[in-house]
Amino acid sequence: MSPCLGKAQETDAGKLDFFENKIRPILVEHCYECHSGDQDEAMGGLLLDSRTGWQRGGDSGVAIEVGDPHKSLLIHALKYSDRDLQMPPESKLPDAVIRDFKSWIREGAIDPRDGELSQSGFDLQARRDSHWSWQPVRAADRGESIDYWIQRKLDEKQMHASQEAQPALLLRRLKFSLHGLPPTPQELQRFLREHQIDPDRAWESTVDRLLASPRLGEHWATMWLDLVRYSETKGHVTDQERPFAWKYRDYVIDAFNDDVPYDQFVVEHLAGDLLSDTTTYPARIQRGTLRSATATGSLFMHEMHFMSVDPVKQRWDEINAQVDVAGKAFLGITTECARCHDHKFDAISQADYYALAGFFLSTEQGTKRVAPRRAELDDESKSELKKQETAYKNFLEQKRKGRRAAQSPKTNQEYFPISDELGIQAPGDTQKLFAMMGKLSEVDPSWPAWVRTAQDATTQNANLLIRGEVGKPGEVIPRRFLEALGSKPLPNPGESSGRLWLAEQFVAPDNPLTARVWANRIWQQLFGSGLVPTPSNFGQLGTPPSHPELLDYLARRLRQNDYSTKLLIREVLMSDAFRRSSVASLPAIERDPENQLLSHYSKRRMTAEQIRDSLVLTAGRLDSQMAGSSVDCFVPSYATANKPSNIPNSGPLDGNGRRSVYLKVRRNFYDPFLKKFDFPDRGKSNGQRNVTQDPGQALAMLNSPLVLELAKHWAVSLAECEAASTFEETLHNLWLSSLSRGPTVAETEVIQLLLHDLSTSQKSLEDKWMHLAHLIWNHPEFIWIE
Amino acid sequence: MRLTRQQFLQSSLGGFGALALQGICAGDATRVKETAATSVIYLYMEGGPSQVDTFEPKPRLEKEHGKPLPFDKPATVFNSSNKIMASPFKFSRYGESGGWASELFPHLSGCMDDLTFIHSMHHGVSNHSAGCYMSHTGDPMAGRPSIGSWVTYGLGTENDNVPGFVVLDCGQSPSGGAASWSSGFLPSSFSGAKFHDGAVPVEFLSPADSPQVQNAKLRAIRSFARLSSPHSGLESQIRSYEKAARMQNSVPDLLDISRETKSIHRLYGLDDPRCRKFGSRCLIARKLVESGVRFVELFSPRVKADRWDQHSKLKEGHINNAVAVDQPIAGLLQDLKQRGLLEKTLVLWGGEFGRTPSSQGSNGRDHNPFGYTVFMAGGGMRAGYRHGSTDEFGYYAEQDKVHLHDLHATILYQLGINHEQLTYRYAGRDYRLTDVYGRVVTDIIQS
Repeated sequence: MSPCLGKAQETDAGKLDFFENKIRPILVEHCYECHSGDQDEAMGGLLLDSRTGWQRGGDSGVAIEVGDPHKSLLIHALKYSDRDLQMPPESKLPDAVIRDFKSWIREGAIDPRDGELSQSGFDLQARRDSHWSWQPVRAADRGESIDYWIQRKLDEKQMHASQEAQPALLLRRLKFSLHGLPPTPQELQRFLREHQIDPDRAWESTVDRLLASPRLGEHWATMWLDLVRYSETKGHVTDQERPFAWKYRDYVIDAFNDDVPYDQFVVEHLAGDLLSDTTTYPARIQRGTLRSATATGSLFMHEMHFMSVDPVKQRWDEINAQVDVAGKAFLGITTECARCHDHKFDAISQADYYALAGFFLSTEQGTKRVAPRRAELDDESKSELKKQETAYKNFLEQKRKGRRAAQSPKTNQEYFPISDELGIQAPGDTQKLFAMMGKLSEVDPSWPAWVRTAQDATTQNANLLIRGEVGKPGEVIPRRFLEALGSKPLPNPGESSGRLWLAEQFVAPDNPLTARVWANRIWQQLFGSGLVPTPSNFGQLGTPPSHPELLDYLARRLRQNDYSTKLLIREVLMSDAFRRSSVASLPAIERDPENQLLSHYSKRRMTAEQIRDSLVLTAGRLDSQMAGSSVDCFVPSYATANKPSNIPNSGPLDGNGRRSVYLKVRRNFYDPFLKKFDFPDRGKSNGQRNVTQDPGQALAMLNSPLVLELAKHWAVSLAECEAASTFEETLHNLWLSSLSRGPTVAETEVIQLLLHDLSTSQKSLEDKWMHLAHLIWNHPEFIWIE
Repeated sequence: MRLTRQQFLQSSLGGFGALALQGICAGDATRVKETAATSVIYLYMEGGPSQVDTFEPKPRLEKEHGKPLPFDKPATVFNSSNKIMASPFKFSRYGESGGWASELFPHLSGCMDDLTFIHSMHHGVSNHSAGCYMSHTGDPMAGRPSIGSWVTYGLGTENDNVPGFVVLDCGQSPSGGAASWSSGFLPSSFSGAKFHDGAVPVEFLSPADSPQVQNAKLRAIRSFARLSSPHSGLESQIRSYEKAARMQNSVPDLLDISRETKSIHRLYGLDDPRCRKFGSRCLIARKLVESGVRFVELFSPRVKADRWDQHSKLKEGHINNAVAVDQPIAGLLQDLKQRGLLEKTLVLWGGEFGRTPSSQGSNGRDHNPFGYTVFMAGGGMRAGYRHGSTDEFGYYAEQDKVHLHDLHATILYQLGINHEQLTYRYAGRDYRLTDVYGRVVTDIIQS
């Protein structure tokens, strides 16, 4: 028995009765639901199921001042006197009940309920020590290689690997994995010829040739754009444009093509604007617009509220998005939980979260000149440019004059974030503004010579926000790196935001996460699934690696090769594992149905972009133009039937034959065809796309105007081909370009039967080939990589 | 080993799931009770209908018209005035339950005894798009699954030839667009299928070929599949072609209301041009529910005024919006009732927030997410009942407050789903429609 209770009983048994009759029943009925049990789970951190609970208090402080109801938060909450603290939340208790609570507190708040608070179970060190991903990357094993580690696992399970795949399938797999496109018949024939002479040499030289092609960046960029939730609009009500966002898209494509070392790529993303020595790469000089600072634009690709009533909350939404993406994309950690409380499962404390948040709190959006200006323009272009610039300046001047005096600058910025987007005041007619800027860039492709970047704003540490609530700042957390990775404090915190230092921690040699996460993403790109199948979550709720030693080997190779992405890709492609047939042996199907041990190559469905790009390429419509402003998506007529106000301009049905990566990404209107094939929501970081099979996809392949128009386009050349050669040869070409093989005898019979059925609907050769082109794209094999 | 739903979806390449899910739903851990409702019709009144001008009269507004509110007004999107504005509409009580309705709803007021009002809704999100996302996904940012997606994910579909979650185009898209009916991180087959107005009701649904040609092609596709080496993805691929072919026929039938009787047309107000659009959508909604569609959503139709977002000219704007939906909704409720469908169909009416009791300009009201009204009907809700209230001015929810998460939890409960157990693991977290909140409001459920 506690001394307190003993005293109470001696002095006044009546007070105890009062608690039992008037107070406890109310607490049980109205408060326990949210304020009992585990302290971690209790709302506002307040427990009301024991005396110690209210004595210790919650996030807002001590709940009861014994003897003084007016100073007791509990009473204020019950009285509903403060809008932000009203309890119970459903509705106010009757006045008589509140009077009871007041007198109970006045009389000493006698409470017989003993009970210790449950201790929080959060032990960061123990969690770090017991989870694989925080451990250092293992040291090298003698004689190891990719195949060495895969074979060891297979041997353990006494399983055999499948044979090497047929050369045509291999090339198809390689092309889709590197370029996101099927091989052309010419490429295929060349490879088969070389393969016959020397298989290994043919493979090696083809790998090298494809790695050097700019088509590589166009395909690999997509995966990265998913991770940073790249979009050219901001979503929400107005879905405002993010002008020239595509410069970042081009930066990513070029970075892959130029094989920018991954550690530098990471540093550029977090702090490219702070790099004093901007390295230049060939493609960047050529295009004259890309520099490391461009990468930091990705920090600002979050959704934007329109007309927010709470700018502080909006600012924190932005910071939360930045911490979230940096954590997932680079480190494979999920930080969202730690915003409100210590992570439920991982070695990430709430303090860790706000230590990282401080770096972004000290950062704002800015603009940066990234190219010298138009020295090489001829006189005519110069004068045109001058003209446009003058018009543009006048336009801005007019806008400035037109601003209503009543609108404070603050309101203005909130209503039209565009004004700070360009570093100029330009509220109002943004469409016209963009049109003008578009004109300018036509005259001078390097224009605008600036990009949106990050820049240092302050040198602030963040307050920990209690329960993640913006209105409840707790202690100040100095900027530092994650405790689980050494808790290093930011040196000279008063000098800068510290982002550059933070970026260096992301790629430091003793940080085991970054290299592993990137190696795993490369593996995922090439095999469809990573060694860690949860590529953005290496934490407790993620799935551990199927081949931990292999993952570490790949991470080590990445570092040994100065973080060259291409060299690691090359090494994986040269392995036996990549070249295996997709046909599984019976024991493999029985013992390893998920093919985690990689005894064979797992079939996978193509991505939305691979499917569309394959259609465009096989139809002979592919325009290989790279870079530059995006092509508007085609907006079908049904979407505009009621002339809604928020539907964007429609682009050409076939996107002018441009690859999908150059189609405009709008948060409120994704391309309908791509969306059908699991193009992800670009509001959130996405490390692995869903793969669904849905009748909508079948309908898209059967009925979409895109497929039909492309089939018509292709039919013209197919008809010409038949006229110049034979039906059989043309049919062979059709198969070869779509499926990378010729038709089987049985398939030819199917075609004969079909043509017989269609005999009345083909009025011309072109009609016939239009139907057959349409059909081959609906061949079940067309959308599979095997 | 029994597969969890998610493992099942992943192992079978996802989302044709709904079809196969039927088998694993019954007896699943997420079920909490015998189901009261099997389908939902969500009548989403975008813009924010004013609670004090529709169903919750506040006499003090009339008395103190033009005076300042006696408390500090929170920030609003237009930082409008704190001057009290009386409602331009007269209120009366209706039915045996004596519920209040303003003169905006001459038809719906006749259904008063079937309605369950919640006058104490709140969530605190002031912007349209964020409010739409909040109302549908429980989060003010885009990217989480819509309530219709959660429901179809949880319950599957009863009709294999139609999508389980259908959004009927009523002429305008809500703020923030498709994210309100998107499946977010759930497989995309759980996204709301938008049935458009006009010649092409569903994206890519109109056959490109004549039936004869398409059948010939489908036969060829099936033959190719038989000739290919089998794998699990291939099977579901072919099944999706079969389902697609059936949808081409079944969907136009469901959208065809010409075979409904004249009296049904009149019931839904189809003879009145002002509400014909919404009336025809309500009638289609009934047909969809009848055919086994799980979740149907209608957004407020395009009218002469803006959607229910009257920052000015509240009177005209609310009249225009109300006329367009009043008779159709009353018709829908009566029709569901006479067919015995109302018991199993939960109808929900409401917008993303309410409006300020204070004025904006001379005759408008600003957004107010701190206190607003929604109503429900059918689906085992407590008919003729009014739950909670706002303060005397209609600004803040005060008695028996119901957060949006609570409303979501209650809807799931009525469908037999425990909102804490319907989860989906994504990026290291088990997500729920109700996030970490939500409680079932038992008072509003029929006992």
